[in-house]
Amino acid sequence: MIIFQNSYLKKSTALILSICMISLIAGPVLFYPKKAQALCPVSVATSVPEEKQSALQIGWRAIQKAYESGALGEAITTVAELVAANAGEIAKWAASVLLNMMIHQLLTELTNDIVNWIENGQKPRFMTEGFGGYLEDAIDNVAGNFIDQYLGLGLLCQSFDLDIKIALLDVPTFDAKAQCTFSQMIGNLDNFYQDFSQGGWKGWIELSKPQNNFYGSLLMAQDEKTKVINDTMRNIEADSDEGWLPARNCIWYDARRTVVQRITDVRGIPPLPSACKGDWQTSGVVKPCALQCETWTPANTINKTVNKTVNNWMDQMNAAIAGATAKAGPYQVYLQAVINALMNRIMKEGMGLLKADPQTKPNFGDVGASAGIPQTISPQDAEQNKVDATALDVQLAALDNNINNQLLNEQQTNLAVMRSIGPAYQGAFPDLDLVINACTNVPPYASYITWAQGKKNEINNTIIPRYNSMINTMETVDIPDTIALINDTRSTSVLAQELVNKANNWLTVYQQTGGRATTTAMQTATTEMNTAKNNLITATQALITDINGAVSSTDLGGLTTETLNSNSTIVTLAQNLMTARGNPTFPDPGTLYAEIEAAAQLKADAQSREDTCNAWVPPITR
Amino acid sequence: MKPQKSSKKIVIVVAVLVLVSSTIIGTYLILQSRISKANLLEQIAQQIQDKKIIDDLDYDGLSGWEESIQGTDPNNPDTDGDGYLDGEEVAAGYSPTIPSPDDRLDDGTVLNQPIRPQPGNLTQTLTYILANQMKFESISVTGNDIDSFEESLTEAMDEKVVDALQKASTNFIYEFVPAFEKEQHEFQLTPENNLTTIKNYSKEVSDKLSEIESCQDPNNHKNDAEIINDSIQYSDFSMSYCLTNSYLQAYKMMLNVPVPLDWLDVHRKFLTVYWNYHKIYQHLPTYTDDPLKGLLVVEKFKETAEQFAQLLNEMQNDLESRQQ
Repeated sequence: MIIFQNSYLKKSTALILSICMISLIAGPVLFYPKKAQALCPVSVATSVPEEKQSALQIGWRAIQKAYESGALGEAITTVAELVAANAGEIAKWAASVLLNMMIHQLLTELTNDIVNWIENGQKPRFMTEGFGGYLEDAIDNVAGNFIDQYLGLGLLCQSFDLDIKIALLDVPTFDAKAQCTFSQMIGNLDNFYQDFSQGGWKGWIELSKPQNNFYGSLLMAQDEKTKVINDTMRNIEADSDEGWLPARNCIWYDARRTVVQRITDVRGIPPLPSACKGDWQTSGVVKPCALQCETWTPANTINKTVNKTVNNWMDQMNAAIAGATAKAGPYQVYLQAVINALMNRIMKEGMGLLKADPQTKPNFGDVGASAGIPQTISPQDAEQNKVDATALDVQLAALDNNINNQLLNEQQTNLAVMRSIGPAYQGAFPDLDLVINACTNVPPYASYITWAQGKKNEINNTIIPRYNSMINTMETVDIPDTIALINDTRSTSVLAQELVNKANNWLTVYQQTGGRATTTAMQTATTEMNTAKNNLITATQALITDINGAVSSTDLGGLTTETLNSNSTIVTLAQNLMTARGNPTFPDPGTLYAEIEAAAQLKADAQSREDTCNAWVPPITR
Repeated sequence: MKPQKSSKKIVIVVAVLVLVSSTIIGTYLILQSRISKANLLEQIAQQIQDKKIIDDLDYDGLSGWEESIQGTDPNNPDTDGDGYLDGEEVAAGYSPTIPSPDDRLDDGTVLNQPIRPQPGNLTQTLTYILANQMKFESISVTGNDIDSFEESLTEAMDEKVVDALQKASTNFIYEFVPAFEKEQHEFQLTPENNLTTIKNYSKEVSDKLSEIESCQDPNNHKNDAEIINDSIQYSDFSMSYCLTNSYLQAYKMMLNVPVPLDWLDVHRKFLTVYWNYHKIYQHLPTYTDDPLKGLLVVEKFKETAEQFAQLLNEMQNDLESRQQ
C-alpha cells in the first residue's frame, strides 16, 4: 500500500494505533467513573427527632415551619432550650477537662522556663525590689502552709522518729495552719541528707528514684517503719491499741474466706467476733477466723494519690474532673506535683541547683515516670553536643592515623622480618652439613660435628618454632586486632558525625517548632540526639577499653581526653615494635635484626669450621 | 553540697507564684466567683462591643500611632504574615515587619528568653506572658502582717493573670465577631414588612439551606453537644471538619437574602449563631495543643446554644403576635 511506503506516515500510524490500544486496555482503569458521594442535606433529617439534630438542622426546620405555617411550634423552641441546657452541661464538663489540660501545660512549661532562667543566674525582678526578707518570710510561711496542708500537721517539723508517732496520732486535717515554716522542714531534711546515719536518707533518695517521688517514698518508708514498730509493740503489749497505731480497715474471714465482719478505722487488733467463737452450725461461721487489715494512714492515701499524680496525667485529669473531693479540688494534684518536683529538686540537687550540669538537671516536669512530661534540652545543650562530638572526632582521626600508619605499619614490618629469620637460619644448614662431612674422621675437630648437629637441632626445634609462633600470633591476633581497632575507630568517627547531624537536626526542629518540647517532632529529635550521643559514648568507651584496658570517663569531654591519651598508647606500642625489630645495620642484642645477623654469623662460623677440618692433615704414623 | 538558702528562697517564691497564678486562672475560668469581676469572655466581648479598643482597628495590640511608628498596616493584624500578631511581636522583641524566624530585634545576648509561642496558640501565649511578668515586672504588694500580705499578693496576681488572659485571648475572641459586623455589611431590605413577606423570606432561606450538607451519619444523628462531647472525649473531629464548612456555607447563603426590616435583627442573630458554630467547629480540633483556646471555644459554644434558643423564642413570639 502506498500509505506505508512513506516511513513517516508509517510511524505516525503505528503511534496512533498504539495510543488507541493503550486507551482501550487502560481506559477503564484510568478513567473509572467516580462513585457519586451521597451528601446528606439538612432537609433529609425530617424524620430524626429534633434533640438529635445540630443547630444547622434545627435552624432549617424552624425557618421552614415559619414559611409553611407562620409559626415555629412549641416543639422546636422547647428542643432548642433543651439543647442549650445540654450544651451547658457538656460545656461545663469539657471546660473542666480543658482547664486541667491547660493548667498542666502551663505549670510544666512556666515552671521549667522560670527555673531554667533562674539557674542561668537571673533573678525575678519582684525578688529584688523592695520586699527583702519580709517577702521571703512571707513566702516561707505560705510554702510551709502548702506542704502542711497536704501532709498534715507538722509532719516534717521535728525529728522524724518523734514525728512519725505524732503524725500518725490523727489523720491530718487539711485546713490547719502551718505548724512549721518551710525552712524548718528543709533544714530537717537537710540533716538527714547530710548524715547517712540519721535514717539512711541517701538510701531513701535512691529508693525514691524509680518513682522519683519524694513524699511517696518518705511516707511509705514511714509506713514501713510504723509496721515494724507495730509488730514489735504488738509482741510486747498485745492490747496496746491506743495512741500511735495507724488507723486500719480490717476484715475478719472464716476458714472458707467468707466475710464475717468488717471493721473500719480500727487501731491495733480488733476483737475476735463472737460469731467466730460459737458453734458453726448456729453461727454459720467455719472456724478458725482470720484477720486481714489494710492500713489507710495518710502514707498509703497520699502515696497512691501522688503516684497517680506523677504517673499519668490523664488520671490526674480524670481524678480532678470526677470532682474528686472538696479537699482535692481541681488543681490540688497540680499543686502537689509542683511542690513535689520542687522538693525533689531541692533535695536531690541540694541547691547545687544553680550550678548543676545542665545535662543532669531534672526539670520540674520530671515528677515521676510520667512519660507525657518531656524533659527540656536547650539549644546550648545541642550546640555543646556538636562541639564535643567534633572535638572527639578530631582525636579519633588522629587515632586512626596513628593506628594505621604507625602501629599496623610496624607490625607488618616486624612480621616480614620475623618471616625472614627462619630462612636465614635454614640458609646455614648446607654449611653445617659440610662441617659434619668435613670433620668426620678428623679427631681433633670431632667436637665441630657435635656443634653443627647441635646448631641444626636448635634451629629446627627452638628457633624456627619460636618465630613461627611469633609469626602466627602476629598474623592471627595482633594484626587482625589492629585492623579491628581501625574499623572501630572509623565506625566511632561515623557515630561522632552522626551526633553532629542529629544535633543540627535538633536545632532545625527547635527553630521550626519554636522549641515546644511537647511536639512529636521535638521529642523525636531529642530522642535521636540522645541516642546518637549514648551510642557515641558507648562506642568510644569500648574503643578506649580495647586500647588501654580500661576507661574511666562517662562524658564526651572526658572521653576526648582519654582518646588523646590512647594516641600516645598507640605511638608507644609502635615504638616498642621498632625497638623489638632493631637497627638492620647495627642491631642491638635481642632484636629481630640481631637474630638475622646471628643466622649470618652461624653460616660464616660453619664455613670457617669446614675450612679448618678440610685443612687438617692427619699426622704420619711411624 | 550544702544548700544555699537564698537560691532555695527564690525557687520557693517562684513556685508559689506559679501556683497562685495557675490557681487563679483555674478558679477564674471555672468558678468565676473568686474574683468579683464579670466573666472574662463577657468583659472582652463587651470591650469589643463598646469599641473601647477604638484606636486598634485590627485588634493586634498596637494602637494607631504605634502602628505608624512601627511601620505596620493598621488594618492588618499580622503585617509580615508570619502568624504572629503585630502587637505580640513588638511586645516580645520581634519585628512585626520581618517574617519569623529571623526577626528577633536584639543581638541575642538576652539569655533564656521564654520559648516563643507558636502563632495563634493561646496557651503558649499565656505562659509566655506570665513568664515575662514574673521575670521582668515588679509586683506591688502591701501588708503589715502575713495574712494581709498574702491577700495583697493574691490580688496583685489576680490582676496580672487577668491581664495576661486578656492579652492572650482578645484577638481570638475577636474571631467570633461575625464578618458582616467587621465589614459593616449592608443588608438588602424588602419593601414590605408583613407576615407574607416574612414567610417569603423564610422560604428563600429555607430553600437555600435545604441543600447544605448536614454532615450527619444517617444512622446515628447527634446534636451539637454530643458532637462536641465526642470530639473532646475521643478526639474524633470527623464531623467538626465537615460542620465548620456547612455552617460557613449556611452563613454565606443567608447573608444576601433580602430581609424584612422587622426581621433584620433575627437575620443578624441567625447569621451570628451560624458564624459562631462555624468558628467553634473550626477551632475545636486544636484543643489538645491549645487547651486555653479549647476552653474559650466551649464557653462560646454554651453561649451560642443559649443565644440560639433565645433566637427561636423571639421568632416564635414575633410570628404569634403577627397571627393575632
